[in-house]
Amino acid sequence: MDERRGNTTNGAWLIIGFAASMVFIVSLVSLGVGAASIPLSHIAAWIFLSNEGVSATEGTILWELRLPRILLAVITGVSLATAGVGFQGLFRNVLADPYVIGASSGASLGVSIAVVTGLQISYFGLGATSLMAMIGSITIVMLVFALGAISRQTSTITLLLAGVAISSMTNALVSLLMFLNDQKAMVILSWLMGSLAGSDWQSVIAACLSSFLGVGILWSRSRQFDAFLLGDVASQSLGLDPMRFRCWVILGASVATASAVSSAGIIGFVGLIAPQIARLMVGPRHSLLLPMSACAGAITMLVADAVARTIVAPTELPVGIVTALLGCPFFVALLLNRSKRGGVTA
Amino acid sequence: MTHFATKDLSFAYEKRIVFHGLSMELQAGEVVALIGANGAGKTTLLRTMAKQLKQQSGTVLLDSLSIQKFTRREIAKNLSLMPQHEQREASLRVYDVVALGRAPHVGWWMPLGVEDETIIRQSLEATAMTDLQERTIDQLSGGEWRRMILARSLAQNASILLLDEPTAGLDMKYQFECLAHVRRMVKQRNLIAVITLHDLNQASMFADRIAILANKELLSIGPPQQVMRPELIRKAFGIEVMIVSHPIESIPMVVPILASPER
Repeated sequence: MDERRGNTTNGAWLIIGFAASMVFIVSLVSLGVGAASIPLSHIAAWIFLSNEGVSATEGTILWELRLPRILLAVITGVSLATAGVGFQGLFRNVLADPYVIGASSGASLGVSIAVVTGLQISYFGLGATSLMAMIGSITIVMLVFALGAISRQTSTITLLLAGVAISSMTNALVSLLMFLNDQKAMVILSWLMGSLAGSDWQSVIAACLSSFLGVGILWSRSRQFDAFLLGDVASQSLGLDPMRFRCWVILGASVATASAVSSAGIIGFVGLIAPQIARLMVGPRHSLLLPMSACAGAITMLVADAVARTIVAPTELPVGIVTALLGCPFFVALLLNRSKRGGVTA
Repeated sequence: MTHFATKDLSFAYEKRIVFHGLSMELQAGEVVALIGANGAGKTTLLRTMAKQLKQQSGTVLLDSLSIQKFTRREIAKNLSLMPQHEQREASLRVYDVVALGRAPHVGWWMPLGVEDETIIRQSLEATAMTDLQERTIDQLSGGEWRRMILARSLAQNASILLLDEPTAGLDMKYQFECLAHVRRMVKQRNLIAVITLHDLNQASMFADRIAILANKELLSIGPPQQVMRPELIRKAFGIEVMIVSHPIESIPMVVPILASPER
């Protein structure tokens, strides 16, 4: 009996290991893909520092453009997918996504303000838009949380409603700013569509640090997530303080989300779909679900970014458009499949 | 030996008093059935005893110390509350849910050790859930689900079990099985169980003592022979009953007297 149990867990870890190596392979392949395509043999030579047959231009493209971009795609994918699992666990609902309590609308507002005022600040290698995206995102989430907390229980439904209300107000403000500054509207709009273009090493390091913090907070709570899924009374009975748990999850998930939106803009669907794929593959246990989602998120972002870079090359599509275009049909198929099997479950 | 008691316990939601001045002492190795009309405050009492709700006054004593002095984790090592309802949509596996019972002991971060695995296996065996451990909890029947929660409480190694309507929604066979299981565990391991029940005859059959909660206070507490009396039942539930003796077991059984003359 226990052998069988061990096998299923080992099987899940095998799948996760496979997914992790896929992240690596897809990264390698997408290093070669883009306006200028670079053969895999050159990439291999470049990685192993032998530089045989690698031209100086190729070296520059790989180091200055492609590698930071690919790393950022991985970080963004991991952050969004992990935040997605976090919010889905928090709301005990698989339809929640990282933007459900206002992270995206807050970031949009922050960026709009930065663009409209022509703000010129920079901190730790992050430009004004990235900083304002992060500040806006975290401010709005905290505002929603504070509103939800007024009802003392911070019941999830109050939190959701507060998120909806604050988001629509924030979105209205963004529209207003765009309407009043129509010459700058295009800049805001292109940010809203999400893009990894212009990634550099400083933004990689900044994103990596904030993502590490947010993702770490959530990963360290994987067993608590399982207990929390059983309901407040049951989790209290197991020694968990549901209120404190909620606060930590909101903190971790919103830091991870803010890290993603500040480096890549608003990228839809990854945070919703990656956890679903992971759930189908390794089940709902969070110690498996979180790493698997991270891999799924990274792969999704890598593929979407590669498509965005190549499909109409040399022009690039905003990656947010690609994830939504590819993600939507996938999601509908998933929903139909699930409803056939008897409803959407956590 | 665990000692568990409430002393002058009162609870109110805002200004609405649910119960007041409630004192009882529970001994290791006994099953106490908590009965009372709908809305009498049985669930509230259990949750207050588990420090999930804060009492207005009075204390809950665990080993002669106020339960307020314990952290939630320390309480979870000693006491397990089995809720009436639990989210069942999660498709976690039975084994994983039962394994969560070890969380108060190993913490939320550390992996489970060999000893924990043994305790989990024994808990599954004791509740006849071993064959179902690979099932996901959304596939369990009502009876199997109750048994799984019981297994989790056992894995928690709690010496106090507070069970809120463990027989609700079960057919007669499972109701009996569930209560017999609990009683066996309590006797074997010298635990304390407080069970809320609606079936007075089951209370009579499976409990060592019965506590009646009515009119915001503890109306009576004692062995079935002492508590199962028509006037107490009338006070608590507003119905007329006769008390007869079980033909074989000589325990008091409650028989309602039909009020309607049409029959």
